Amino acid sequence: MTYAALATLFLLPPLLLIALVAVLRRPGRRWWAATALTVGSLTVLTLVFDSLMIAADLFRYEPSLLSGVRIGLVPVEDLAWPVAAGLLLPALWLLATPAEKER
Amino acid sequence: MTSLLYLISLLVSAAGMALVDRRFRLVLWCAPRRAVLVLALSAGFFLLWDLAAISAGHYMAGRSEAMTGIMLAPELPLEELVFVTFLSYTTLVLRGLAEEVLRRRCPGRADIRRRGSDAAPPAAPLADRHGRRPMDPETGP
Repeated sequence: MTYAALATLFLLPPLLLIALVAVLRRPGRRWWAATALTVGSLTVLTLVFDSLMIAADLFRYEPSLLSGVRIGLVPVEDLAWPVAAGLLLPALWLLATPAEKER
Repeated sequence: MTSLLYLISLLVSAAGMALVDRRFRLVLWCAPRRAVLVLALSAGFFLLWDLAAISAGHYMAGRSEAMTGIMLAPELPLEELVFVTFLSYTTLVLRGLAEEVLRRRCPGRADIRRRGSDAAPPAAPLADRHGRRPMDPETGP
């Protein structure tokens, strides 16, 4: 299995939770804007810090399973991490918030 | 040679996030029990991702001397557990900040909804924190 396939698999639970939030909680426009800002800023942070962490040899990837497309040192597949985090955490937070306390 | 460098960098960064969290009461300083639950679920999810990627041969631990060398599982350093928790916490803090910034924008825009009893008091007085004087003398200092 390629890293892209694995990353797609792990994007499914966050996407499912976001769909669940959209149906169950119907958050307003500001919630979606804040979530989009979070995904965007995490993506930028990932491009910077993932590059640094790869340069520092904190972890390695199996090159034969990567697409080979990199932004800086970051394999493009790794951007699934900030997208997953930026969707999963706001969704979990809202689902764990009692409905009457929502803001 | 091993060292605490990466671990300490993560913990110092997390402490920085905690200061922002405390200042604006966003996550642990907003709803501590909910925060711990959500952080645990999220850290568990990203650890699963790591373990799946390791067992499928995608990820390998690096040979950096900035790590302690303590391994939780093959190719899974102790630092990764701290990293996934830090990533999750950072995400919630950033999201809280984003929401705060959007909430403090000048009122009157279409995306500020008044929802029945949920209608929040106008955020206008906060505008002067950005250096603007309120137009209404009654709301002045």
